[in-house]
Amino acid sequence: MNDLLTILVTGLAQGVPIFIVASGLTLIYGVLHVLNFAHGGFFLIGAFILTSTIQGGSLGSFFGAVLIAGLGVMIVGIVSELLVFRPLYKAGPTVSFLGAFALFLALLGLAIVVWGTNPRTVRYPDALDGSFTVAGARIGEYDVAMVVLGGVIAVGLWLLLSKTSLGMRVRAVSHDRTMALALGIRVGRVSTTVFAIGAFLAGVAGALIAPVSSIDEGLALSTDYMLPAFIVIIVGGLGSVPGALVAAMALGVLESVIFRAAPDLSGFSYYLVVALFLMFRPQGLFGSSSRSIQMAR
Amino acid sequence: MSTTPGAPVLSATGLDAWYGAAQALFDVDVRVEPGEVVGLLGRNGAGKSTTFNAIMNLQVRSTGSIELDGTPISTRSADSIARAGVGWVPEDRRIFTNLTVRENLELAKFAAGTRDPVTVDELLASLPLLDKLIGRKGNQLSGGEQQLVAVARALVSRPRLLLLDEPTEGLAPLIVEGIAEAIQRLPQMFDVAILVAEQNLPFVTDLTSRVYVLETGRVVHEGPTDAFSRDAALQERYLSISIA
Ligand SMILES: Nc1ncnc2c1ncn2[C@@H]1O[C@H](COP(=O)(O)OP(=O)(O)OP(=O)(O)O)[C@@H](O)[C@H]1O
Ligand SMILES: [Mg+2]
Repeated sequence: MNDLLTILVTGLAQGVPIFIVASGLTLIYGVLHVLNFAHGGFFLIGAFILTSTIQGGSLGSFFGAVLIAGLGVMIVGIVSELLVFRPLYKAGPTVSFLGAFALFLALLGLAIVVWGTNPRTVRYPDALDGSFTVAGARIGEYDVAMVVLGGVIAVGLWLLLSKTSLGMRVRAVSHDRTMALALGIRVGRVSTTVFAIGAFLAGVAGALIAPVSSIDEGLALSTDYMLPAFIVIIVGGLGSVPGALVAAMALGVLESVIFRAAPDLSGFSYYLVVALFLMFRPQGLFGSSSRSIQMAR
Repeated sequence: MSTTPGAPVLSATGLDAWYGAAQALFDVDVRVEPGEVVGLLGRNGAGKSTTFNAIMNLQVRSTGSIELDGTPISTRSADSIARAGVGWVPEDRRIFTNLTVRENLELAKFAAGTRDPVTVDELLASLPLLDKLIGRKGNQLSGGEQQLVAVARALVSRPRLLLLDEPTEGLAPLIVEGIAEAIQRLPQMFDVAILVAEQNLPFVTDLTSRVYVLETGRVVHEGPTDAFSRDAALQERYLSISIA
C-alpha cells in the first residue's frame, strides 16, 4: 500500500519532463505540421547549458540555470525555424522532416563540439536532495518539485492557449492556415513564436532531468525521455496539449509500475501502448481528424 | 494604405491564373466602384472562386494587375492583402470550428491593419441574428448560421471590398432571403463594396447593379443587372445547365 504512493509520485515525476518535451512537439506539429525530429537536440543542449551555468547547490542557482537553459535553447529554436523550417515549409512535410533530421544531426554535432563526449553529472539542489515519509511511503523531494513544476507548466500552457490573443491565433493557424492568412494573421510570426515556445520547453525539460540522469549526447535520442515524448504525442493525439499531459502522466505511472513489478520489461510499455494506439485509435486520445489544436474537450 | 480619390475600390485587369499547369483564368477584368454590389456569375467551374483566389493571392498562381483603391496589391501576400482591406468569405465558409463564434470574430481584427476594427457589439447591433450565436462553438452552427458568422467575420476589419463566394449555396429559400436582406444593408452600414459570386440569379437580381459572367475562365458578358435579368437567351447560354 505504501509502495503505491511512491510508485505514483515517481511515475508522475518521470512523466513531467516527457510532458514538457511532448507539449512543445505537439504544438509545433499542430501549427507547422512538421514532426520536429530535432527536438532531441534541443533537449540535449538544454541539459548541457545547465551543466555549464549552474553554480553551487542553491535552489536559486538551479532554477536560474534551468531558465537560462530554456532561453538559450529558445534562441537556437528561433534560428532553426528561420533557417531550416521557414524555407522548407512550401516543399511539404516530407522535406521538412528531412530538414528536421539534418538539423538534429547538426545540433548533436554542435553539442559535442561545445561540451565534448564525456558524460557530465550535476547534483540535486541542496534543498531538494532528500526524501520524506508520508503515510509510510518514501517520497523524493525532487520528484515532488517536478510534479509541481509540471502542474505549473500545464496550467501556464492552458492559459496561454485559451486565454491570450496569441493562443487564439495559434489555435486558428493550426486549424486552417489558409483562412488564418486570409484574416490578416501573420502566420509566419505565429509559427516562429510557437517554435520558440516549443524549444524553450525542450530546453527546460533537458535542464530539469540533469540531476537525475547522466548527461551525454545519448540523451538526444534517449529511451527515457525523447522516444517516450514522441510516443506521447501520438497517444495523446497530434496537436493536443491536454492529450500530451494525460498520456505522459499515464505512461510515466505505467512505466513506474512495470519497473517495480517486472523490471526486465521496463521501457517496453511505451512500445506496447503506441502499437495498440496505432492499431485501434490512430488519432490518439484527444486527437481530432483535423489535427487542430484543441483546448477544451 | 494610401487611397487614390476617384479610383475604383477594385480594379483587376488581365488576370491569368493556373492550378499547376492548368490555366483557369484568361485575361479577366473586373472592376468594382465604391459602394457597389457587383455580381460574378457563371456555371460550376467557370472560374468564380478562382477569381477570388487570384485577388487574395491564395491557392492559385496568378498574374495580372490588381489595385485596391488605386494601390497595387497583386504582389502582396494574402495576409497583407487582407490587412489592405479585402475581406474574403470563401464558399465553404471556413469557420474555425475549434474556436467560439466570438473568437472567430475577434480573430478577424488582425485583418484591420491601420483601420479601427468593428467591435463585437457593433456587429451585434447591425446583424441581430448573430446575437444568439455569439457564445456557441464554431462547430455548433447550421449552414446559414455559418454563412452569417463568416460574413460578420469578414466585416470586423472594416474591409474596403468584400468577396462573397456563393453565399446562398446549400441554404433554404427562407434563409437566403434573410441573407440577401443583411447583405443589402452592408455597403451603407460599413462603407464597403461587394463582389458576390453566385449562380442564384433571383438573388443576384435583387442585390446587384452590375454583373460579370464567366465561362471557362473568361469574362463573356458584362453589364447592368437589369438588362441581363431580362435577357433570357443570355441567361440560357451562360447560366442554365445544358442537358444535351
Ligand atoms: N484546387 C484546384 N486545383 C486544380 N484545379 C482547380 C482547383 N480549383 C478549381 N480548379 C479548376 O479551375 C476551374 C475553375 O474553378 P472554380 O472553382 O474557380 O469555379 P467556380 O466558378 O467557382 O465553380 P463553382 O460554382 O463550382 O464553385 C475549374 O475547371 C476547376 O476544375
Ligand atoms: Mg466556386
